[in-house]
Amino acid sequence: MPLESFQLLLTIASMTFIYLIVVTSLNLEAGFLGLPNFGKMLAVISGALFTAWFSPRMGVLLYNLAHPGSQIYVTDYVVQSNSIVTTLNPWLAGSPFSAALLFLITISLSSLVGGLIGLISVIPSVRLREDYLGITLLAMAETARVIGYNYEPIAGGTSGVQIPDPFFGFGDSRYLYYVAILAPISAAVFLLYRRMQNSPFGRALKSIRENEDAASSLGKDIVKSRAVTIFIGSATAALAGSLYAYYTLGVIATAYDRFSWTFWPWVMMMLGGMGTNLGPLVGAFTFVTARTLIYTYKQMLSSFLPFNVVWLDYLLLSLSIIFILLIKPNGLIKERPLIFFKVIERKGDASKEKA
Amino acid sequence: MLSPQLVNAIIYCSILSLLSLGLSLTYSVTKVPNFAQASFAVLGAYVTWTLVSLSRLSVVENMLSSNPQAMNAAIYSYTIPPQTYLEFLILSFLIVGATAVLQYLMVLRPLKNRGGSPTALMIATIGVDMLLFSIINIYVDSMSSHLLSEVSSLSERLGYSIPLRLDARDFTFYSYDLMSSSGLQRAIIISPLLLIVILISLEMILKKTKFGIALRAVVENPNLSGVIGVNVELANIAAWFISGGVSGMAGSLIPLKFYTNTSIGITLIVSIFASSILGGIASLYGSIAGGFIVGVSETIFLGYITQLTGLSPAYRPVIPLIIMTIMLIIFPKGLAGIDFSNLRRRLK
Repeated sequence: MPLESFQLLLTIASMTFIYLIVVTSLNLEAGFLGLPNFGKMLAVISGALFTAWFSPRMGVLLYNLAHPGSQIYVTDYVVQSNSIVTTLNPWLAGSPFSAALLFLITISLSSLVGGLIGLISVIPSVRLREDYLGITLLAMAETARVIGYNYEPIAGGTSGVQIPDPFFGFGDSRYLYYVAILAPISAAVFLLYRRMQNSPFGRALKSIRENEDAASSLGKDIVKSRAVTIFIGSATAALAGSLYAYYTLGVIATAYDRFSWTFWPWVMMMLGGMGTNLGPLVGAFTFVTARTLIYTYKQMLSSFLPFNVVWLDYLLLSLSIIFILLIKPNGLIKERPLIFFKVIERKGDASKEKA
Repeated sequence: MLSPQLVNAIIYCSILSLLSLGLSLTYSVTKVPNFAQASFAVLGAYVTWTLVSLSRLSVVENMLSSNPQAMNAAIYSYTIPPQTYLEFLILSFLIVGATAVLQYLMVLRPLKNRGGSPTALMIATIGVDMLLFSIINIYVDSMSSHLLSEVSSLSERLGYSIPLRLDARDFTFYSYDLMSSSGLQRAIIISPLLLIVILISLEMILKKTKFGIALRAVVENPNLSGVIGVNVELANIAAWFISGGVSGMAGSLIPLKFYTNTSIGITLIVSIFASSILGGIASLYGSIAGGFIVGVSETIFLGYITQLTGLSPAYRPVIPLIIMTIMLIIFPKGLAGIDFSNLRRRLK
């Protein structure tokens, strides 16, 4: 296989796995509970920013760089970002145990922090109607982006920071091995969610989505369900944010915008089918492939298009939203009704009708 | 003499009030928060950009002097002619109003008729928002390259490069809006005047005309008003046209004072929602009050905070979020939902 198409495949695979995690978590919130999370980006950016803040610090702690006698004397994590990473990477390549520890602890803590931030974001509107939820979550996410963009100590603000690479030892085939690590994480999330969605918890969420009053009269706590769901969903999306940060090896707040991490996941979910187990996989794969191809063949496309290719991404996104809603509101995979009791037809009755 | 902060606050408050008024109008009729509201304003702002840029170009074309100094002086002494103000206000009212009606007829109404959930309606308005964003950007790119080629062909004809900058992004028409006599901006008169005119005419329409009474009936109960012969569809279309038109006019004033960019809608929408929620999302006059409170907090109050604490003014979007959060926790129905007589009785 030629190298370029192999790299293209790797990109599509890694981005599909990362988006699958985000879309799966959004599907639990929006598809199952009916919670219009227009601030999905908040969890993703929290995970990425925490990774950018935490992983260099933990790396420096593990390698003991923060004292005057060490190889480099770390005092400012933003200014020295580049030299920290270039010092840490060869060391991480030499000690796989530290690399694995750094990676696992960072992604788990990022996930936890993201979940907590998600929980905080829902406080003002958790008791209110869904339109208020949508508005506040969108506002929260936009504000988080502004803070990440301007508050330099976390992730360098507009200049961004680099993060140490636990897979530096793999050299050129790093991205191949990274896909091999993403695949089981993503599959585990997918299967765990499937299990959760088919459990009584998932059915309770669906009942709240269908009729809040009926569900609460049957003893389902709506506020608690919303809080638990947003915690689980945000923690999962923050995991994806952290994994994406390790994929790009640098975090800059501008890379996390509402188009890429809120509305694209929404379209992916809507295309696949909201409230289904398999939908996120179908949606994420379709749109990640389409976007990656557009991005890769930018030069070629620009000769056909009467406008800048950048806007093609936004046009595709907006037209997909509108057309899916108008033409195929249930998505490619239709949500099947839950069946608890099978209607048993008696043979005798059927023959009577025939006669 | 007015302080620059006060000028800033008055213009911003008027624009924000009109935008949240538009949001409340469509919310109360169609029952969906329109996430494309800020893009309406951006569309209006670029109507102004187009007209003012064309008018600046025509100044150069009319002069065609071979003397670079005279040309330079003409370009720098340019002020927006009075008829251009009228043109961009009317044109943005019509264009953005029509856009809003199209949004309702082509996207929201089919979805609503099919029994789309509130979430589906909301995500549809987000889709429209992004469609407008890409269309505005594509238009601005092509218009701007067209204008640049005009300028360069003129430069070639005259034999020197004309110093006419027609930036399409991160521009402001602040300096073309100054009155030569007092050095004050015209927008300081236009924007509050526009707000007052719109409020009075809306009040007249809603309270005095048969159509306005029908519109209010639809807001109260669409099904019942449909039964007694009110044309509910027409009321919806009218509400969207007025909302879009008012937002477009408000947006067309943005470049007169503030730096304008195709992406200003992303943070503007947070302020619009905060004002609407503060005033009570379905209340027209509440949203005007909300617009003023949020507007003052974002300009004058922010000025004090940055002076006192040394925080960067870049954190400005945090203020509407805080206001929104506090209101939702304490008074989720907004100022209009507070029972003041009850509150007074309790305080006694």
